[in-house]
Amino acid sequence: MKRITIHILSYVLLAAATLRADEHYRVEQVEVPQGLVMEVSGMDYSADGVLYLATRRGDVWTQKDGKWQRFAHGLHEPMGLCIGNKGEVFVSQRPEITQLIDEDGDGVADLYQTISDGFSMVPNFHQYTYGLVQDDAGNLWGTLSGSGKTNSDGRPASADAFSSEPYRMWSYKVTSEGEFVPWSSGLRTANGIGVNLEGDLFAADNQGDWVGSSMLHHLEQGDFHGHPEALRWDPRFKDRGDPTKLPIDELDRLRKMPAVFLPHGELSNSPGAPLCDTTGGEFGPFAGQLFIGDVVHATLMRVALEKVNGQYQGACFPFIKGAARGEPLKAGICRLAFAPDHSLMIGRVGEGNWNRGLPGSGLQRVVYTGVVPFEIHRIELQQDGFKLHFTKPLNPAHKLSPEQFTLSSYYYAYTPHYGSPKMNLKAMPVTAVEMSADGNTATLRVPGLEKRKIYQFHLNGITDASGKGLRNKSAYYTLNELLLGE
Amino acid sequence: MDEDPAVYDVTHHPADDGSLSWKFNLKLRCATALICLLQPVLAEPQGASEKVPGLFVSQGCAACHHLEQPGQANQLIVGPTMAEVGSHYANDPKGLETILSSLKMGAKGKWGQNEMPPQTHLTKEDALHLARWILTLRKKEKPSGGAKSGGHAPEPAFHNPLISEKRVGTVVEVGDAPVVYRAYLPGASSRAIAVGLPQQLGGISYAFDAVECRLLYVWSGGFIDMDKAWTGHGGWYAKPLGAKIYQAPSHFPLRIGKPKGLSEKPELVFKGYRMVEGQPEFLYQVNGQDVAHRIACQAKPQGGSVSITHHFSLPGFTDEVSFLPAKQHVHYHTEDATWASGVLLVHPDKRADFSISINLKP
Repeated sequence: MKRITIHILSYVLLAAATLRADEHYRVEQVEVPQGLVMEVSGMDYSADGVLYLATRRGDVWTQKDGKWQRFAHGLHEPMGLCIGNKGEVFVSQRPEITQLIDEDGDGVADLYQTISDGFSMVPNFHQYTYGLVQDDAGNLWGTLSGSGKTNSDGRPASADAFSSEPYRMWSYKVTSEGEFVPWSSGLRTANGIGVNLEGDLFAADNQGDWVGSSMLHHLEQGDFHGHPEALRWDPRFKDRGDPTKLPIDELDRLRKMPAVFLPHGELSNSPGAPLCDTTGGEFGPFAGQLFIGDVVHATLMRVALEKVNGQYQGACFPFIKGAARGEPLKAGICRLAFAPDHSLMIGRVGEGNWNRGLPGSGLQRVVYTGVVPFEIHRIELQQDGFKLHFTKPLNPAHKLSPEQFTLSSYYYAYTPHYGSPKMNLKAMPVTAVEMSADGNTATLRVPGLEKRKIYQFHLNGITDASGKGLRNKSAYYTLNELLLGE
Repeated sequence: MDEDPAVYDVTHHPADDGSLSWKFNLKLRCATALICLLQPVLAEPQGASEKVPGLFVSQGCAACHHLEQPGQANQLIVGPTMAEVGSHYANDPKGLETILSSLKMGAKGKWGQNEMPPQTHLTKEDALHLARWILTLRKKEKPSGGAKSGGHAPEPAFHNPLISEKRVGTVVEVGDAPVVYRAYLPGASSRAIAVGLPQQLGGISYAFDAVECRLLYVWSGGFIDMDKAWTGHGGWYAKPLGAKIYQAPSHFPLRIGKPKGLSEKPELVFKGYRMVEGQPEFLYQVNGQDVAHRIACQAKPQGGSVSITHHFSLPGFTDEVSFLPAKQHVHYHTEDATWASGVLLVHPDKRADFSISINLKP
């Protein structure tokens, strides 16, 4: 009997840790040219369905109908690529933002046109020029990674980042006239950038010094996202000396909290660029939400944001973790793009930490089978709790009880140290739960909600009308702002 | 950034303008041969992942630690390899305790000067799991000759028909078409460009600076080794392979209007490059005026003479245009300009298109 209990217990733990292979999404391997190292660092589709793919080794490839062609070569470690509003091909490479122009129409770029190099750089292993998206007005957007501390031979000496010259650790805008505009500051190394349906910009920073866990930031002009090194180039701090020596509580008040924390270890380690689901439902019931992959974990995350008191906050969920129908999802996920057939193309830059001898790089893709998954669609903050929206109605035959919702709260410490454990982790009792008449939502009453906390959900025994359980039972809601009372 | 960490010494000496005092560096030649042999597979070593517990990757250990010593000396390692740690503490009764303490509290000084931060995100169980696993690892005996590299098979020399150049590990060899690689190059600003020409175009290579908008130096013997720019986190110098055969003077040579000598610093803005028959035509502005600049390099085999031709296009120019030579004696050849007060003054009817060659005798 004891053995059986242990057996069941380990099964339950396993089920909680991984998503099951399922009938809703399928992962496929995508062939890339053989014999070349295809570390995908930028990816986008043109309006006529051509995949453009940049690699860390400096190539830009095109692929259509299975035919690969090298479009450009010799770029200096490009870390972003986007197709512009008029079909232009833009890349962000270490020294500059560049437009690649095929003047004679033979499928190979002839003109490598410098759009902007209005930022400083020195040889440093960590000075990535991340990108790249374009807005309707023609501005290009990206972020500049912090420098890494190095030994005299260029080898990394520690994981701390610093802003050795302007505008390392800032996000940037490059106008259509080529003007470089530093936009927001305090990003340690936000690998890539994305834009939601509203046109707002997001970038995911990587856990490290001053970054307790990986996190998704909403980038607005003048924002300070938390890493004080970047303040060296903020005119407001010109006379304040070394910004990393400023009182932490002052920096803490100054920083804009991330829209969503991507919990370190459980979901994320080194997130890549966020991608908005622009398929209008063709990729499943998550239109308008964001997907983010991870370089270290074989994980795709899903983020559903809401605005509270004018600020973005919301929930992140595991979407696919390792196991999947078809091929297992692999790590190294750096860039995402929706293909013309609405499948999600996954660009892998190399597992672990770039190409440190660990596998691997290349392409995979996720295909929606059309079978709607039963999931928490989004979480909406209430004055005294949360309203969980589901992708399908809940089982009307089952009366919900608060015990089915395990809730805990914690925060990540804001310190110069590398990362943070979960601080002040405590259970949050759910005192009441109510299902809506249509079965689409469950409203939880949770007394004592606090700002600047992460609320971790685990749902037990929740089923849809057919009696099927949730595809994924966990969620993490980042609460920065409480709903103001009436 | 004139720091020059590469074996290949290209720092500029004033007396070296146009001279051939650069020596082929034997050390470099040996290193190159070795790299060709020892290049580890960088993508998808089959089966390697199964041996690695998920925690090693998922908890970020792999960011600073290799499992075993990589075959290539220049691969980036912050901390000791796991095999080194395992071997070191194998017979130490306090080994487990020491590793656990390093994970929890961080460590410095045990293995060099790099500091390991406390791994506060690790749970006690995960730390114990990792420490026990580390203690099972052992350093491999060094192979007695032969190209064995950290358990990885050597990367085969592969020539994909979709690209003209050959990539042998991190070494790039020019094929039948010119290649243009942007990289950190020794003796250049941080924005630099390496150009490799195929045999039929002279088979030599040159470096162009995208900040100073000028030719830096020319070398022959091989193209470049991308080295750590491709094998680590990225971002370190590429190494020109071979011997330097020309070092350009350290000033930007074109002047618009009456030349005021070397102290005059024209305002330069790099605009990119256009591939013309496979070769780059560099585009930049001098005091707001568009310039297109092509460079042709020819070298006779077996240390024969070298010629470098600058071709400039300045469409619609009405101002005086001149070319400032090197201080040292260099043999210039042009039919488009004449000497005047120590500069080459471009003929008024040639301003839109003119060429100036430098001939270097061995």
